[in-house]
Amino acid sequence: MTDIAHPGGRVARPTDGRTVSVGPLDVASVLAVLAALGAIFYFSPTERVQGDVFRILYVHLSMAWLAYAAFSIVFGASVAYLLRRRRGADNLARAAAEIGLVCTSLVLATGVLWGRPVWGVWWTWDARLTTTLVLWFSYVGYFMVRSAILDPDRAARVGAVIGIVGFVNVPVVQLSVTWWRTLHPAPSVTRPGALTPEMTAVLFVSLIAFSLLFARLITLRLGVLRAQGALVDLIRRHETREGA
Amino acid sequence: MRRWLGHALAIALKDLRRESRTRDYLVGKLVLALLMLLAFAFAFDVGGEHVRRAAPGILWITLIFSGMLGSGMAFSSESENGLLEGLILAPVDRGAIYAGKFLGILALMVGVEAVVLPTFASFFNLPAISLSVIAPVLIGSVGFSAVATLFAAVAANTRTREVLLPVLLLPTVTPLIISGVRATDLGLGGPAVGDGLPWLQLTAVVGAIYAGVSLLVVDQVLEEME
Repeated sequence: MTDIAHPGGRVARPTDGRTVSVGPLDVASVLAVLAALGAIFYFSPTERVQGDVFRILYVHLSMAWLAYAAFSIVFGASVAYLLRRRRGADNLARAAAEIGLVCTSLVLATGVLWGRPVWGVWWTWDARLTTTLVLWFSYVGYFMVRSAILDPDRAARVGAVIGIVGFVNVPVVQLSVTWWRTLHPAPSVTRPGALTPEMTAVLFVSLIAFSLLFARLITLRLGVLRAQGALVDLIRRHETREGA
Repeated sequence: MRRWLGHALAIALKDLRRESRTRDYLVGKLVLALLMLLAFAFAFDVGGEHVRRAAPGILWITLIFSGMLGSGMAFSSESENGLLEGLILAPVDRGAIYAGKFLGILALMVGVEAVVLPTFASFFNLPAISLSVIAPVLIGSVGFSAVATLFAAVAANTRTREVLLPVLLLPTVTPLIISGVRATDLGLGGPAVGDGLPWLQLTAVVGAIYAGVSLLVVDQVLEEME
């Protein structure tokens, strides 16, 4: 049996499937998330007005930050793909879009859970909420387009176009929704001075922890996408050889 | 530039000539729009005072849904017999192809609006035939057609074209819906365009952004459609 070049440059030998390689990023992200959870539940002081519910902020804000980071990566990688046509750029865009969509879903879910006890409503048509929801739908469309196109090169090109249009649209949506809701300003969650130093520290730890996890998930997805691409190439090459 | 416009115009006129002979889409879009006005009349019980509040939204949702219907055909009508490949292979700037298709979609939309606006005005007993309502509707149509054309090119030749187009279009045109509805709302309130002007400007700016971005990326979408 021949070795298949592993996307990471290493060589993966067919095994019985029980071997799992654990890298430093795996260990770091797991430890960091555990530390963050500990900090969130034990170290962070309880908020005076909101009580324990407030602890959801650490996850909520981290996810929001990562969602925007992910979609910025999608945008950058999409532009890079259209300019250079490297498959790696497309893989990165796709992996980041997937993780970004997960983060956006979590932002919406934690926001809804938080909104109910604090604002008294599950959902309010506040500018930030509405923009996030529109963003979520845009990237759902991104995956629907990609899965609807069979040719991988065309799917990559069209995906890049949607990734760019969706990202460029974010500030426009934000602006229009803000104008739309100028009469009903929603309570701002992150007033300056609203957090104690301990809370800021916990938020910082959570951000780092979830960023590490985010980085690990993206590299994991990248590895799978690269392997998929390599497999498709292999099959194609095999077929052309058989056809010749 | 003149050649570019000439190419765009030739494509648009070709599409419109085809449409004028078959009337495949214009009639369908028009009937859908009128039926939607009827359905909204039931849905919102238009006898009362509150219809005035719902009216701008009714008009815009009607126009946007009727605009979505058939926009996908702008490119898919040429998917048979490799016509689209022929068009792309022709020594024409792809931006001009986009512009031509855009003009065709816009012309159909404006045609529908020419009937829908008077009907809307009489059904809902509102002063919709005034510059302060026609202006946002027309400017919004330009922006909408700009995105619709790009996404029609994206969705062309995909298995799930009919589903894909609305899923892509609706979140993207959110700013247009917001600004268009607000401008129309203020426009219905009185003859003065002044009140709705910021919203009108927003509609125009959003449309310009859509058209600009579309022209930048359309080359990538129209490259070999297979």
